[in-house]
Amino acid sequence: MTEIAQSQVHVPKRESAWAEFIRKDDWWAIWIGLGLVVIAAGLVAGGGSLRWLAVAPQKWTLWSDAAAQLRAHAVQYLALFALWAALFGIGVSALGYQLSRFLPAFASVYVVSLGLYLLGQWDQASHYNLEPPLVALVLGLLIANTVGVPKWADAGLRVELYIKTGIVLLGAALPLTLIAWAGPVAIVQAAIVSLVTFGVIYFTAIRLGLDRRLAATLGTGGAVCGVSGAIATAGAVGARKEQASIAISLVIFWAILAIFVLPLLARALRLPTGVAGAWIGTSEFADAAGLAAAQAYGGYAGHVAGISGSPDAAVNAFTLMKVIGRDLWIGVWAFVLSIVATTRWQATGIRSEPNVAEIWRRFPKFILGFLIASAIVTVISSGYSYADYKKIVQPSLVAPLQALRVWAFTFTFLAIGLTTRFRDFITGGAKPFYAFSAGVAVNLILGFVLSTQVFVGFWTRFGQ
Amino acid sequence: MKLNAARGEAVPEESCGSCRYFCQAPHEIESQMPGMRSLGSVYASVRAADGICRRHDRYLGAASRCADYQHRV
Repeated sequence: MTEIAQSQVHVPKRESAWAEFIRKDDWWAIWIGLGLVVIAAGLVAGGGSLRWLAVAPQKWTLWSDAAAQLRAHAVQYLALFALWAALFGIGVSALGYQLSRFLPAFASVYVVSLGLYLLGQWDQASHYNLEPPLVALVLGLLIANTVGVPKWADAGLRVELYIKTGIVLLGAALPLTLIAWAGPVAIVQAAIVSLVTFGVIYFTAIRLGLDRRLAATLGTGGAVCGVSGAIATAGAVGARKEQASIAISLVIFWAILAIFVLPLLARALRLPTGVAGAWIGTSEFADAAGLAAAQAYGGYAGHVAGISGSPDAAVNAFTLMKVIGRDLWIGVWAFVLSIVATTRWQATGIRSEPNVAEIWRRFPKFILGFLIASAIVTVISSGYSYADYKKIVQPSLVAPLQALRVWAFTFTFLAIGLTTRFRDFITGGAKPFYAFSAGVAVNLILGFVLSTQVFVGFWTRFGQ
Repeated sequence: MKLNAARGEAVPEESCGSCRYFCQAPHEIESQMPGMRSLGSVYASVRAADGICRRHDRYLGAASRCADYQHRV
């Protein structure tokens, strides 16, 4: 028996265009993320703030201090749980899950996330490499691959809903002017790496004798947007189901590995946070995985000698590179490849007619929420002097939204681990692995050279 | 049925979206494509209206067509 109510109904009839707004997690991330931004802005306009509700653990040294913090803010933590449970609960219900299954699962996610968030505030956390994103991931992976996660918990482990909501909230901390200034550089750098990585994976796969549809699915999975890129292309070119699964498995394998390897390499090289974020944004394969790596690296700033830049710069640079530089173009990749598939590749007996409207249909809509959140806070901030911005807008509006963003990201990192079961991976033999890995190698090196040599001045300034 | 001149294939006017072999149910796609939940989402906009064709074992757009089409009742 599945926990999804929708399965019992199974109504795949043509839905109205409006159904998109409640059937896709991109839109729910916008409703939830932008809703929080608008409420926070309204409270500030009225002289209040979301600060009380957006509670977050503070730095501590002794366990007794941490326990005292929890006791002192217990009501706030309960209220915050109620807020998240209500918002995400409405979202997952609309997606077809039963609220009765979501609530206990999400309660578990919230409690463990609180523990991880608190652990990250320990003043010795960096010394022992206990960065919350990495700890959350390891903990989740251990549970999922040993004792396992009960099926009913699926409803509370919606990685993409959490990460997209977090990215929309992240927009509130990035001025639109900064996005406009850094966006073009991110697009140029990401375009270079995406095109080269796709070419390496695609032509290596063809050279190894793999099917062109598999080659293209692997290519976009590695070059554009991880699992999202793979499924968008698989659907656009009509790949075999197994081919999509192979690409998904390889993306997850390398993305999980990169979460640990990229911050370690960047730390060994003492890269500034902005530069490391740009590298991770260029060379990671999935948004959620990259944000885990970028946030972990940002945590080193101020704690590890030799790493300069602000803690948030790693996440900000990553987001610009990955979201604006790569994710934005996913529909274009799918559309172009669908044309190539129907006009140049061997027929499968299934006919598809490329349609330019696919670019919009496959557009990751949560990016709109990210940009609108940025625009809202930018407009509000423009009405204040710099001194008043630091005194009013930053602590009353931006800081609470940043705290909520960290919560959303922490739910994400834990959920990634809890939903990744290595025994489910479908490798499809050695050839797809070789082709994808060739792209990984080129991607890592090229991303490193562009971030630390070609555009190093830009990303260093960005980080400061 | 009409003929696709470019390919010489006979295909019906109806598309996969209304075919009995075509599965768009999110939970079923997730269960048949392991890993989809981990770093992706079956509810993502990028998926559009794609689904799994049980007849051809392919992952397809809902607007695709083929000669094996059977209307879903």
